Amino acid sequence: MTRLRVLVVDDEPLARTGLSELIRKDPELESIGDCADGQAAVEAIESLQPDLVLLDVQMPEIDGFGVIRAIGAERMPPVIFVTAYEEFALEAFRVHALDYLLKPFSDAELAAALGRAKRLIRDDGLHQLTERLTELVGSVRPESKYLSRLTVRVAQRVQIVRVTEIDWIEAADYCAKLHVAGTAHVVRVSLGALERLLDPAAFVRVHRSAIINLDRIREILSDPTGDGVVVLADGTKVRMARSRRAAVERVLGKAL
Amino acid sequence: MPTVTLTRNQRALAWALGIMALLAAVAVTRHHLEMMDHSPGGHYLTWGHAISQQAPDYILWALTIPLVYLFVDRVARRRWGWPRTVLTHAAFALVVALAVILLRNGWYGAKDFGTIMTSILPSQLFTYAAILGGVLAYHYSRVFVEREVELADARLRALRAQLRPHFMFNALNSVAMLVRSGRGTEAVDTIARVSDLLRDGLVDDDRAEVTLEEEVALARRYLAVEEVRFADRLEVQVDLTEQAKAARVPRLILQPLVENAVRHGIGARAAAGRIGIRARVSGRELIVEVADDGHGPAVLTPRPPLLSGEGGTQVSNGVGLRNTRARLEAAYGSAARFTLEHAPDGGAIATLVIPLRFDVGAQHAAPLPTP
Repeated sequence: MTRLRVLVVDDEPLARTGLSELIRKDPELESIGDCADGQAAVEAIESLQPDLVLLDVQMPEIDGFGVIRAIGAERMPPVIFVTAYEEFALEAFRVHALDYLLKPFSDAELAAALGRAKRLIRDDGLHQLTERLTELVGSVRPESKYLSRLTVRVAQRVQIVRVTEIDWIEAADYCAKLHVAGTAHVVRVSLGALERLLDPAAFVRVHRSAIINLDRIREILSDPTGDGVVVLADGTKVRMARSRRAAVERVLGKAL
Repeated sequence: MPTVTLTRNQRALAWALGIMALLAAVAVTRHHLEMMDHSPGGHYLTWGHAISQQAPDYILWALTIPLVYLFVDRVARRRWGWPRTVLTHAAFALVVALAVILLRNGWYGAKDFGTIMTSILPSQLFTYAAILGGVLAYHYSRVFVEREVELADARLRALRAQLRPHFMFNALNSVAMLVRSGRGTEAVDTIARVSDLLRDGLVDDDRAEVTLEEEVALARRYLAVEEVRFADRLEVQVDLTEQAKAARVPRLILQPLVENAVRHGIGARAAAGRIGIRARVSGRELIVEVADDGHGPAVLTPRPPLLSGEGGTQVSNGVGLRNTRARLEAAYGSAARFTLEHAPDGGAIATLVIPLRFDVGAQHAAPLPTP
């Protein structure tokens, strides 16, 4: 029997390493990593495809719900929420019958939650879970704030990029390339996930492989076929798909 | 008067007018009776005449009460020294008395300059003094009550912060994880720190002011628990000059600033952060700074132009820190300042500037300037 691959996400180091340690003690589970924030979690879930995620609800920038929103409920692996005390979250978990652990938890409580998750995965109850997650993300704080900063790795350093500094974003395999004032930074988050994390009033997807910052648009050239080209303030030309035209018109509030 | 609402003012005015009306009624009655005594020929004065003789004076003085109150409030806020305060009051008294005299001349008929100076002005000044006494008593009773309310409020908020379920449960979770990984000593340390914090919240301390050293010790106990929670992500630096340590500050004034620094400086991002608490004495003022190296304060409105401060951009009213401002205002009037600014190298700096004061005991202990 293959072991279930588990990812731990928590912004507090002690909680994170402690939980990973506990996972390692379970012979049926394999700890495949831990993440300290939402962006790292999105990256890890997309690239590692874990079987189970232990997800802290409250985290800087992208919280637990933001992670699910970014990944998309339908592609989200089974999840056990871990929370200290978030009244609204507990209510939501109960309403949608999702599993959660309250910090601090005993070994027995953790084992019970893990046991339920294992059964769910083995009995193939995943589509049920997807439904509940979809409902959860739909119900929890739809006004929840959007991503304001991303971390990018530049050589050995971690650099902060404010989303307002981003000119446009280009899909690059399963990653995304952020174009910031002439420099490109690669983040290991899919373009789709990024699109869901960014404020739709500030960023719009103009093509399957491009998101642009509305503030950077200088002009939009369209041809009779309906496809078009968006020219950014720095002169960059980004192709706009016919299918995205309506969405662009909607955020601009103008017919093109 | 930012802390006074209109309705409160109106209520105060109604009271003032009511009291004056009562005094006027007494005076009118006395006047009436006196006139009866002094008119053996049976020449009785009518009530109407008695009222017309007395009422205008009282109405005029009643109308000055709100003005006097406003004046007292403004002067109190300036925190001037005695000579300047007394001189200002004397000048204002003269102006008001003369204005009243001018107005009542219209009613009672003009008096010559000599009469005004020798008999009317002194009696009007006497009336003014009585009103001022009443207004001062009312003003200080209210200032006192406001301070009490602000302190009670701050205590409650600090207690809530310490007992905030999210904070407590996460702290307990840290303990649990320390125990699981066999780090018993650290687990016990953390339990002791959490206990300190609970004790701080439960202890019945009614002092409105403490020394900065005590206040910083309290903030450190809170930060100590946060340090365990954030481990490698939080570093705290405290730098107080000896003189600053002994200065008096409103109790629990730092707690919300420190919490804010943790929440916005550390809690809101994944990288490690530093929190600095610095204090020094400059002239007759104590300057306390709480700095973090986070993303800087949230700017709700477009960034205001460079206004003031130490190399930073001043930020419009920090949400949630309004209470800090209100407490300083209640305790020190316009003599205290509070700003939340962007630090030059990112992050935020909250700066408190309050008038330097020492405990009677501490004042002797503090180094005195050599003569």
